[in-house]
Amino acid sequence: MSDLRQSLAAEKSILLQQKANTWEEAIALCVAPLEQSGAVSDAYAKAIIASTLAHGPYYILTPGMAMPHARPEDGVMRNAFSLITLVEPVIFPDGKPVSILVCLAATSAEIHLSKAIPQIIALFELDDIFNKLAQAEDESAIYDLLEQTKGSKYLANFTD
Amino acid sequence: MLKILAACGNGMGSSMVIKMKIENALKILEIEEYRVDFCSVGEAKSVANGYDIVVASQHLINELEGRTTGKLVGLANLMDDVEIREKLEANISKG
Repeated sequence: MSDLRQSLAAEKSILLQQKANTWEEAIALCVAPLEQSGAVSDAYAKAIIASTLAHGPYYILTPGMAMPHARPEDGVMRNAFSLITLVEPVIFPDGKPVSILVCLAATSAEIHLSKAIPQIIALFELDDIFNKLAQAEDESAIYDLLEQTKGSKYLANFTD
Repeated sequence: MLKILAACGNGMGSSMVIKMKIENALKILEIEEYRVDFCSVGEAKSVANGYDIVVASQHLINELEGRTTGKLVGLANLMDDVEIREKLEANISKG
């Protein structure tokens, strides 16, 4: 599924105000809903952790926010996303704190043609987005924020 | 034509975000003829030499040292439009 909102709804993969003690726990948390829905196998979280240990957390896109992912061959069954907020940030191996995780599972690099990656960029360009996400208590608050990304320059080439 | 390569740990996800941010910055800088590709830092080691600029997150960019005659740009924040625009501008040779 290439639309972020549709994917989050279909996979039931929004988990808010979660608790994790370590970055590994945070990775496990954000992959869990996708494992449950069958979008990825149980190899996926392990692959992300191994890849993090090898390359560092290259998926921290902006301070406080990570988009953990591994490669299609690491157990991805279909394109899918999850969105997790943590009550307290966890510290990644390079010392960076992260409290928002958007897990990406992609079956191929074609995912860059989909709407979802620009939607993630657009979401994190909204004003005060970290507070808004931290305060979100249910899925509808997340959907409202995604609704506000419409009109973003990053989504100009997509129709609804 | 300006050729830019965006690299990340495993060649999808982060490098796609960098690519989209670069394209946005190039539009603002009014550069019309460009190509932005993306790949993993491992792949980048062998292909980087064909590019004018190679962009990656700060902690990966060192892995590409000596792999290209082009410019290397390390980003602290992959989503920061100002950082990306300023660093690209500083590395684009005018006409």
